[in-house]
Amino acid sequence: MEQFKKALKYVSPIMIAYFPVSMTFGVLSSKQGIDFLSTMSMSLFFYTGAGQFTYLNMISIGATLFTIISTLFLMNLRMLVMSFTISKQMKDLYTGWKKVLLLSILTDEGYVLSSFSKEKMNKTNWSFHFYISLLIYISWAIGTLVGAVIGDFIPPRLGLALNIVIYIMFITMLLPGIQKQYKYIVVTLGAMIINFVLIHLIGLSAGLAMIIAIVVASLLAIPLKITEESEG
Amino acid sequence: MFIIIILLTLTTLIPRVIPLLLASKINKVPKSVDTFLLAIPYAAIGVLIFPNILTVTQIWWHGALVGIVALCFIIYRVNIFLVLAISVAMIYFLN
Repeated sequence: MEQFKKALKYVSPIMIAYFPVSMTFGVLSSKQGIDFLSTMSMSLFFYTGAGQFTYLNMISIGATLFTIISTLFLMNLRMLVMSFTISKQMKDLYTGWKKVLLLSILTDEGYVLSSFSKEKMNKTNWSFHFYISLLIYISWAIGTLVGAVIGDFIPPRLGLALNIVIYIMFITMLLPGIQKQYKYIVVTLGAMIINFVLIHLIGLSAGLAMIIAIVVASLLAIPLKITEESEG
Repeated sequence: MFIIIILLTLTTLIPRVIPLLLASKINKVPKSVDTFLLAIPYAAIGVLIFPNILTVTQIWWHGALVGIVALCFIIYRVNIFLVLAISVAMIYFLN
């Protein structure tokens, strides 16, 4: 209980900040005709903010299942980095299932909070780190639920205008990272340009263009990183 | 839908849990791999924003205009609900 209170106090700002985001997901998902159970399952099992919005957007533009799954898999590969760092921190402190439990609900935010907390992982504070991720998970689920319920009461013309919401959410997700590291502007704009060129000048299918653009633009970050360091 | 959700779940669960098996074998991941993996979401979201935002309504500049206005608000840390409300209202009345 002590650990729970401590974790709650520590993550409450994140829980409050992400509530509107998951609520928005719930609203959009139900507006797109996805049933309540599937909407909730996405937040409970798929559980990745940016990925869930990406999924909604990709089905609305008619991407194939193959394109959707490969794009999402690429996007989620970043979890490898975070999960690896946390795995290293956990060393042999906890039993296997405790490690799996903690990692299976790990998010970008949970990762940041856990690895930068003053409370370094030790034998007795597994629950503190687990609660950090669990509370974010619960808040995400409740937000989705509220949003999905509200979504059913939205009139059609307003529903159409809601199409813009997903793009605003995307911009919201990009900004914090970009403001911290400007190289991400190059990656983002690079991806947009490469995608545009591949589709309109070379004539590739949208799905293939998307995947190539994502991989090539992300590779741009590597040399940028090096210049940054040699200058700094 | 059921199968899609399982596939989607695998796309997150695999990268979340696999590192546990690797952690004891690999000491350190090269910095460039790290950088590459962390950059992917930025590229993916970029690709999804443009040019699709231009198709929010029948007229291409509607989406572009609202996107830029929203971007300015977000930079100045206006509350996200307010930004969403303004953006939706703009599209609602432009359309």
